[in-house]
Amino acid sequence: MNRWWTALPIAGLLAVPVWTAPSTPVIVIEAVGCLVAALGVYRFAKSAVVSGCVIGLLGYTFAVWSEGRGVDVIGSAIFGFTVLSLLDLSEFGRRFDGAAVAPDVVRAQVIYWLGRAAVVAVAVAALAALGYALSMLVPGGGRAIIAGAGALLAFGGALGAGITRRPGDFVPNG
Amino acid sequence: MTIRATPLAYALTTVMGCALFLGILTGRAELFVVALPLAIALLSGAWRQQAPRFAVRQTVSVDRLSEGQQVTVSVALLAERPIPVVETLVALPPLLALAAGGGNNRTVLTAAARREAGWSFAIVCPARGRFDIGTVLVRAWDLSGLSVIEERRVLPRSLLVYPDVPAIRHLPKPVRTQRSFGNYVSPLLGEGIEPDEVRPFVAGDRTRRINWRASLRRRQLYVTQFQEERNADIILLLDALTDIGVRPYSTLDSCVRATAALAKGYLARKDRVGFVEFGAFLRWIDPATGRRQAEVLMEGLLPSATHFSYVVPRLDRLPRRILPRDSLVIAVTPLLDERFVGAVNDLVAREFDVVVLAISPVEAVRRVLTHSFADEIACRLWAAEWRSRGDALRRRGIAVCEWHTDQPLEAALASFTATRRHSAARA
Repeated sequence: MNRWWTALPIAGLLAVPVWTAPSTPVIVIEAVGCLVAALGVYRFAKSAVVSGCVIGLLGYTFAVWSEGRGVDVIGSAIFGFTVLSLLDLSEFGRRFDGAAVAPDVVRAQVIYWLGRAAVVAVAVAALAALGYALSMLVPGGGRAIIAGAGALLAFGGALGAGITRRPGDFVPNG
Repeated sequence: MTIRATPLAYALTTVMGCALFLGILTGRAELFVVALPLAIALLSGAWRQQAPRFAVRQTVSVDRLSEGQQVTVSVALLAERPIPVVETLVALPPLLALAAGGGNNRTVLTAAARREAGWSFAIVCPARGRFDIGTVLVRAWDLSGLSVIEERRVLPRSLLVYPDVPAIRHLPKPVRTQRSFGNYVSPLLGEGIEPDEVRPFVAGDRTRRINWRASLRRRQLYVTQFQEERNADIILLLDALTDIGVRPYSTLDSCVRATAALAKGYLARKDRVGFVEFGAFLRWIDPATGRRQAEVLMEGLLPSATHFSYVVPRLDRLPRRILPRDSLVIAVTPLLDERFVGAVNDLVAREFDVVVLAISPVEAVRRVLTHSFADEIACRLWAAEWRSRGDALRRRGIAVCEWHTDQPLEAALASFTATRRHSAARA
């Protein structure tokens, strides 16, 4: 699996915000983001890829904020998945650059990514349904509080999953 | 064994944090949805892989080879539990290189439970030495790519790369011989095959020595006397004070190859061959003969290298068994260090039979130059200066054989042995 596969998510990084709000600032911001990400992929510089993703995210934020339409769940889910794919693919290429990668490994990795994409799709659908239900049940002021709490919970949970040590885990340098 | 989070985990956390921050800042739900795939990816890394238990086995096609030859290294990994992605790297010492089209020393594969997963690759050994190739670095990744477990296994596996020994037939002949049987004609008369003089028969002479042609002509019995064939003690004195050029074409590498070739040639003639490395410290191998000595000498030449020291080694401190009085000392040197030239002069003053095999350093340096006009002029000037050093030794009565490494050693020795024979005959 070589670096050319990252061209697809980089194209998505440009396409989704432009599709959301085809304005000059969005195009410029996204073009810069894609350029930085592509440079990072080319030079195997993780920080540049992350910078490209963050710039792309800023462009997408500007796009959805300037457009001011209703919530575009599908577009944002695609954008999130695009960012995830870009990070995954660039890291895979960087990690095993110069090594002989067995076809079994690539096959298992692709299957894993496809499985995770399915999980993401289900989770987005569930979240959209939950959001719709909450919007029906919770008054306007409470939605922001619930959304913020949910965001903090998700961030904390993700961090905790990465940091917390449990019985059965390895002892570093052990 | 070390477990650590990968850069991907930090990257996902950063981008997800940005998305959530921007979502809260702008109050747009899309950005929370953008963060959702990243959060799921991070959560998928929470199911950490268990500590992999595995055994690494490494085999090599040969563990003793000559410079320039290839060796195939096979690595097999047997895991107790399946490891989805395992990256294995066999650390290669600096001088060893992967053979073109011979595979990779870094491989990523999947290890099934209790089933060997392995691969092989070929490496080229361009320079002599003892190389450790038993260090294997293993990284076990989970499919999320968020954490990695690293382990370093050191297996007792070393490669012995012997110097490439050119075959030589012309060897400098020693002036003095020893008592054991050998290939050199001795001035002593006795049992040999080289006829010397004819004298009248005396009681006790063996009848098979009777020279019938002379006896019939003189009508009196005459016998032919024969010269004994004896061996010689050869001491190879290696200059390890300086080393210039890039391995495997450095001056020390050329010196070692020449020393190995001389040792092999003299041992084939049943001579006793010893070795003294004249470097920052003295290192020696006692003179002996036979195939075992050939092996000992080759092993002894492997670690030859330059070491910095303020101490000047002195050959007069060597025991007599290391440097026998009647031995032929062949000094193999690039003639770059005055300390070695001083040691050679000292040996000549102590009436040793000394031959200097001067290995030109110009060719070794020319390999790393850009071949510009200035480089060419500098090389020519340096070559002239270097030749003058050899001439200075010749003026002191020392036999000097110059070897330019772009030519075969045999050619240099052939012309040298011819001139040495003529000069010996004149003396």
